[in-house]
Amino acid sequence: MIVSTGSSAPASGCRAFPWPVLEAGNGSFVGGLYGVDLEHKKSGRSFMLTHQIEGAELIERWIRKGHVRFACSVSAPVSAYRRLHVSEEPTHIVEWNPDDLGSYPLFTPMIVCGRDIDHRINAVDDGVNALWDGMELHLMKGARLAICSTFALQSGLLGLLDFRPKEDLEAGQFQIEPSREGGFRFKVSLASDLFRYLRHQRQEPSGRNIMTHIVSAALSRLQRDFGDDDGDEGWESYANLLALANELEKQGLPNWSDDTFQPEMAATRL
Amino acid sequence: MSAAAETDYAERDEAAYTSFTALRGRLLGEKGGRFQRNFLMAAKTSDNFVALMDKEVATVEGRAVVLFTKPITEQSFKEMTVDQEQTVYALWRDVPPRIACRVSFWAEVTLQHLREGVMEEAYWLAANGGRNESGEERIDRTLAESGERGNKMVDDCVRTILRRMSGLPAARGNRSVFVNCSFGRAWWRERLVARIIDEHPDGEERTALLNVVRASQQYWENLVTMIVSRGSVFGSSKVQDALVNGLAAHLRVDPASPLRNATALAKVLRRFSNIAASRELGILAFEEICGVVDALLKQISHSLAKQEDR
Repeated sequence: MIVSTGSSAPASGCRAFPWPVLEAGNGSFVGGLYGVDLEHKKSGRSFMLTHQIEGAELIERWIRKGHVRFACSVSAPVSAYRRLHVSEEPTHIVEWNPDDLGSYPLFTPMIVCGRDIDHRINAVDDGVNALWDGMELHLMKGARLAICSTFALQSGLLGLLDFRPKEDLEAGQFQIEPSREGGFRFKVSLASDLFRYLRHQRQEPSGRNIMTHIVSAALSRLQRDFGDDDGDEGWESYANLLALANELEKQGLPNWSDDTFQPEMAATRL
Repeated sequence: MSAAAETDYAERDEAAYTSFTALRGRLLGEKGGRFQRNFLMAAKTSDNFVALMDKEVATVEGRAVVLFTKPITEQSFKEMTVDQEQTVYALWRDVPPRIACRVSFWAEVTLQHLREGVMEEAYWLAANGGRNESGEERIDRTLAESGERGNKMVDDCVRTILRRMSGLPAARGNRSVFVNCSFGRAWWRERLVARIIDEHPDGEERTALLNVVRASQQYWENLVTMIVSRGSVFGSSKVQDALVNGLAAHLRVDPASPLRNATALAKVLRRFSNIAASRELGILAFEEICGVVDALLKQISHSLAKQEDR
């Protein structure tokens, strides 16, 4: 999975920090890109994170010189959990103990100064917006240089579910319909009470049970309606379904085009 | 009862239709209505209150917590002593944070103490912070009122009970378990103190830390908001620890410092957040973060002292 941050915002956004920062909405590094690649280690407990940066010469130079640190904060505010993983290398392990978390952990990768740095900007050589040209910088250890958007881990399947309230459903009812509009999605229509409940209580034990039930139903529809790939318009033409099939394969499970596929088993594993 | 994972503690059910969430929703949905008034009537006696809770909300089976052993009074339940808070944490330190942040868990703990008579009366839950009247007097005074004023009093009283029993995140956010629930507040407060002392031991530190986390309800609430806020820029608990430690050291040296009040603390937290927004302090060594904290506290304290002199 890549979570990337471009910097295509107008130049007016580049003065939020008193130094150039590569982050969403900040135009300091024109065409700069910061992303991370995740490789799952222990499911639900850790992953290998690789920071990748392009088009930001100043930061790339400081990386080559060993002036930066690669970091990722892991937080679960509801249980007051906050931990920072720091590495001198762009690839490092990020781990957490589920017992410490009252909700899904949130991750914020970043690249920060590993030492105090004094630098006079040359906009062309440093690859930053001309507005910074000639600026004298004094960066302190810990200064944020590149910040990735905060993200939560969730299975690819959850990203396929589009929840919406439906008033004519009775209390506790839900329906699932596959939709091909703008890519493949499942429209999950929920009775108003269920919609409200899942909106706020999805992480609670009962909320998770309901989600597992919904996921199981969605996978059953995949098995029933999309078991056979029929060429250009079959399930393999959708990147998110391919990614989900890959995820199942990584877990040692068959996908819905296999006769041995068991929706309930996949739902509980995912 | 329904079953939970072996390692989980017993808690009130949060399933969709017989849940504690649903009960809270019903109660908060009708300001001063019959259901709220019945809830208050039930809270006048422990048996009735426990029976009502058992009828309305199922319990998820699990390990039971060891019951609190020290005597509790209505006053000490409202604001536990240092000794009691230490006992709470010592008794339940094995409860994982993922459970200790749940209202359903603390509700079950409180109800268990009522059921076993360790807490003598359910109306203790209604005692209001700044008043001398007992919870029972408050409930009687509240139920005697009618009209719009009475309805608001009933609603306020119901909310006090829910907050004190378990926390009320729907109205007060994530911090409610940490600041409003008597047992929950004791557990989280003592956990913070124990963590700082374990990781950064200093013989005289405990008293100084207690002076910070117990300075006032608002002081503690300001600290907790910093910790549990989703938008907080504190990337590491090491940074929180350094800040609390720094405040403790500052107030130990200067007990009359203007930083002893909650408004000044709010200012410190705002300024500290500004620093942390552009600089990830978590990569610094603990002593280096303490240096940043110390400089900030001296600066703000000096500026506030000058304002007080004028």
